Amino acid sequence: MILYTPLSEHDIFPRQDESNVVYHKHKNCPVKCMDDGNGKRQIVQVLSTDPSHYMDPELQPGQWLDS
Amino acid sequence: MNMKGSPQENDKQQDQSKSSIVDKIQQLGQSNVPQPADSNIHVLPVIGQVEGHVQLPSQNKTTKYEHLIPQLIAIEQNPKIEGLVVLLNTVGGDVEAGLAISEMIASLSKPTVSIVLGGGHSIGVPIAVSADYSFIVETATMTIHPIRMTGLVIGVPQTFEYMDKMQDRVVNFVTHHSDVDEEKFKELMFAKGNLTRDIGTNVVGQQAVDHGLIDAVGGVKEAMEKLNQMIGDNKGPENQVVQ
Repeated sequence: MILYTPLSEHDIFPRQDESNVVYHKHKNCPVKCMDDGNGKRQIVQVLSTDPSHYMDPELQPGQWLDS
Repeated sequence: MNMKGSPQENDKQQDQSKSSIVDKIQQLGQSNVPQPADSNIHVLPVIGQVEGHVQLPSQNKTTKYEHLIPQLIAIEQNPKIEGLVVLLNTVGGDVEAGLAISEMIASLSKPTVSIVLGGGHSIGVPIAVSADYSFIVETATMTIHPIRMTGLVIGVPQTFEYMDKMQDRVVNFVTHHSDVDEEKFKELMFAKGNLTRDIGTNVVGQQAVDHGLIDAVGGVKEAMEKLNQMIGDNKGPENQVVQ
């Protein structure tokens, strides 16, 4: 299904529960992570403006980080 | 013969009347609603998001295509209905559902008129132009912008081609059913600096008419007059009363 509308996706589909979302810097790169509650964090999104951060395999979404 | 019912029956009727009034207040916010006279014109509202194959979350107001398409078939088949008014106040929605509704309206044999009220954005544009004659009220707006998608894309070139073709379907429908030419419509679609979060153009009332998208500025009165005139023309001289 493709929606053709000026509304943003978040206006149509409500945001998911983000209580376990944390933002922090890893290797000097700002990332959005999900905290599993046991001291481990998984990268959800890279929030950097530096293109090289997107090429770094350690910063790929899905990677687990030790906090 | 005693025509009056028993006291129990009278009480029951009074209770039913009260509950009907309470229902009207709860559902419509008033105790009495105006009833349309027997009319040869059917009114079809398209309000909120146009909902297609996927049901949208409950906070969205939607018009479902599975509700509209059978109604359009019934309008075509019912000999008492001689004309259709489409009322539009939509923010767009599912491309294929919107195009399906547009094609259905465009292929009706009976005269059709559309009125854009408030907004007729995105996929609301083909629905608005699908009628034989389209009106827009002075304050209504229409947003024309490219088709977008979000989320994971598997097969980027193929997806791009699919999106491009889908956009062409919208552009072709609009240009074939209105006076706007393809070059002008694409210019509006890809214009920069008009929208804060997107490329495209937001045309208001008279501007939509100036660009050739909509036929005239007007509201309910103008639409009814035009539709009645078209119904008269559609009947032909053989069905008109000879003076």
